Amino acid sequence: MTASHSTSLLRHDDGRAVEQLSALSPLELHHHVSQFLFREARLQDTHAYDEWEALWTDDAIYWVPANGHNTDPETQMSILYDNRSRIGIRIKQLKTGRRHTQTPRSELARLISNIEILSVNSQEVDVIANAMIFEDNMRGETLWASRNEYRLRLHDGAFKLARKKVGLVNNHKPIFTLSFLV
Amino acid sequence: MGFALPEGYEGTERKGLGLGKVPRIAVYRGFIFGSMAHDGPTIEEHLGGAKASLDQLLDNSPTGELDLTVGFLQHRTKANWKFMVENETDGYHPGFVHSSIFQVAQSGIANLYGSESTALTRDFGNCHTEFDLRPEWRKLDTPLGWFGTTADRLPAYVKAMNEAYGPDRAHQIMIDGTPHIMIFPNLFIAEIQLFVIQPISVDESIQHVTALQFKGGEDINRRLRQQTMGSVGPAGFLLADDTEMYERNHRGSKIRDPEWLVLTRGLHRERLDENGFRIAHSTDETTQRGIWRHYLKLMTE
Repeated sequence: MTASHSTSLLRHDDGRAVEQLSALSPLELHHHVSQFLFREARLQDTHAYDEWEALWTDDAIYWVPANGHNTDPETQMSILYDNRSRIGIRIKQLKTGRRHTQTPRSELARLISNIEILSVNSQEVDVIANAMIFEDNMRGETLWASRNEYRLRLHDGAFKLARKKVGLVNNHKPIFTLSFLV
Repeated sequence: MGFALPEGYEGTERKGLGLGKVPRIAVYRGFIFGSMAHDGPTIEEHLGGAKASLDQLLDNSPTGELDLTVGFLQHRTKANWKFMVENETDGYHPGFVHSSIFQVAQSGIANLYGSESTALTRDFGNCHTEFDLRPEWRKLDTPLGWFGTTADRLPAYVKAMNEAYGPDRAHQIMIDGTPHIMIFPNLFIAEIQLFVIQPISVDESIQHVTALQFKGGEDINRRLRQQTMGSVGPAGFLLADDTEMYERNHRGSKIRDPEWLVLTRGLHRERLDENGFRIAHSTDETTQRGIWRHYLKLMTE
């Protein structure tokens, strides 16, 4: 296993640290983006709350819209619309051990697929991907499907999550409690 | 009603055909109520004392009106709708069910439902119940203290309120805040948000919820939306845990032994207020007893 696989630092094939995303080849960029999204998925599935929280930038936006995919979260209700501070509260609540809807925790496995890079500049890359999440909890089994949008930012040589929009395909309908990290 | 290809319906009488109708509709201060019963109490008779709480709510709007146009979240719940009705004015649960968020968000809400609280539960009859938090807000004596903020942080709203009601009345309204009332069978107003409870089947319900928005209150409306999005809906810091309890209790209730629940909390300190409604401490089951007393009457009359 080489260093580029065991850490989240972005490196060129020859081992040099990545300073400009635009200097990466399309294949390299796609690989690094995919690895980041898979890692995020694993941290969510395993409830690795601190490591997941550490993925976010200080100006992060974590958004799960309701009633469509092009609503304005500043003026319309969303299922979840967290800034960095509220992401922190969400994680702290989960870590109290008394977030009853996650006690016991949901058993989760998710697939991240159809990863497409929409645009890239020197420090940021916009990505879309689909997610399919199987959840098992005391109520029963639930399948979640979403079309996600991400903005990843190069920060100290690694990707950080600046923005994540989770577009649940059925967000115009009643949905069950969504208390795991989606 | 019209027919497609009408020549095929020659001789058919249209009268009496068409979609079903809600037999009775009534409006109280902009709230539209429908009844599927052809006969029954008027909306004024049905609301009774609960009307005062709707008035209290609308007084918090500088125009006396709400503007519920920001969309509803729809929270699917595998539990009977009555678990929700019963819980909306249960003051015994917040300190336990919501202790996780109270601990991490430095919320003052927990104190309203602690043993020292002067807040009340009230049974209006007709299954309408409320928390009356005004005794606590009046002790605090800070305009917008009920909303966890201060007048200087919402200057446009405060100005509009002063202009609409005059400084003295506006001051009192902003001390007292909005109500926390469950209007039977399906309308729940919880300070900053409004729920409609929709039964789907014996073991499934939908909680529809939106932020209260006051017509003419842009700066307070933004804060109302932000706080509502944090607390309620499928991912809410509060309602996700309430809903967990609805679902667990529904499953638990399938075990028929023991058959009855104890709902005696605060029976010894229950009393009548100046209007003759039962009141007790904010954690007492005066509200649950009121709901079931009237429900029994409705189901056996």
